[in-house]
Amino acid sequence: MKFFKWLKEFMTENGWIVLIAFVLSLFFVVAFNTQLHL
Amino acid sequence: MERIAKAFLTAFATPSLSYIAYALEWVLLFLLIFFVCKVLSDNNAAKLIVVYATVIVSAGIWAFFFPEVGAWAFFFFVLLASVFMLLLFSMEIKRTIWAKKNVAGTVGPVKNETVEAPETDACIEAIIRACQNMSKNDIGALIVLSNGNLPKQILESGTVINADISQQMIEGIFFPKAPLHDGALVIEEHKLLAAGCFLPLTQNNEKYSKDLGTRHRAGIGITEVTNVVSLIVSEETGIISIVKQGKITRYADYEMLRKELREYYWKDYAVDDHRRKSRPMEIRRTQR
Repeated sequence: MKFFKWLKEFMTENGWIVLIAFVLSLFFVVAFNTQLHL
Repeated sequence: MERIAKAFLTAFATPSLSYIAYALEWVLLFLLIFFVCKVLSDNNAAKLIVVYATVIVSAGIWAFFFPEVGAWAFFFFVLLASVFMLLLFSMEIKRTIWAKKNVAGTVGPVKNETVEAPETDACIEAIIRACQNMSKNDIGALIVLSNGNLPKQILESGTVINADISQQMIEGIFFPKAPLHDGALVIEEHKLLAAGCFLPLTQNNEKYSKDLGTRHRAGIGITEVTNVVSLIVSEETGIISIVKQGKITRYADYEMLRKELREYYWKDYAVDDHRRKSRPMEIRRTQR
């Protein structure tokens, strides 16, 4: 599958950026929404 | 702490339509943070990712412990940090967008239409010929290709010339015993902006061999602090080097120099490509 091939290449190249963005965005969503309900 | 846990549960433990909003929020944020990190990483500024991540995390912690500040203040703080990081590399982002648009063949409106690609070709040819001539005669030279992003004090340390680019002019500047030969020549677009400029030396002494003298160290040093390209002609060996983002490529030949300079003048070639594409087919055929 072309998509999986592209995904594999993309993750090899940008895997660590994806990980950082994933963690930071998750942290932001949790912090922001919790703060909103405080 | 109890209050925070309660707020967390209120926000996430109630199954409702708001989960879709959370997911959307997360996806958008993920895209924003990914884009910022990708721009920083592509522009040799991976260290800034640490700063950016620290800013987001500390803003989150700050929001937890000072609830009176408000969630929206936290949101705008993160947004501001992202915009600031992107503004640092606005030129590079523009360049990437342009390059992608050209591949697709749909170039947008062009601001700088006055510069013709043949004129740029002449500039490129003049710079390459001057470098090769100086290399042949063992004349040392240091040329910086600036995007208008050099610190003001560097330009002020030299003499402003603001002359058109020509082979004779470049060779004349670096001619031994000429007053401006000892320093860097700054080229900005189609002008020789300043000569005899003093550049910061690289402090990375372990990385580079001891054969590299002060000229090479200055040429490397400036590419480490700003996004410019240096062309260095060694006085001792006549070797031409290209330095980009602190990485030195020695033994540069005509093709390598041409490729680097065409990349520097990418805007003019983008204009030229756009004109060629927008011209009707018949005109293109008759011109052949």
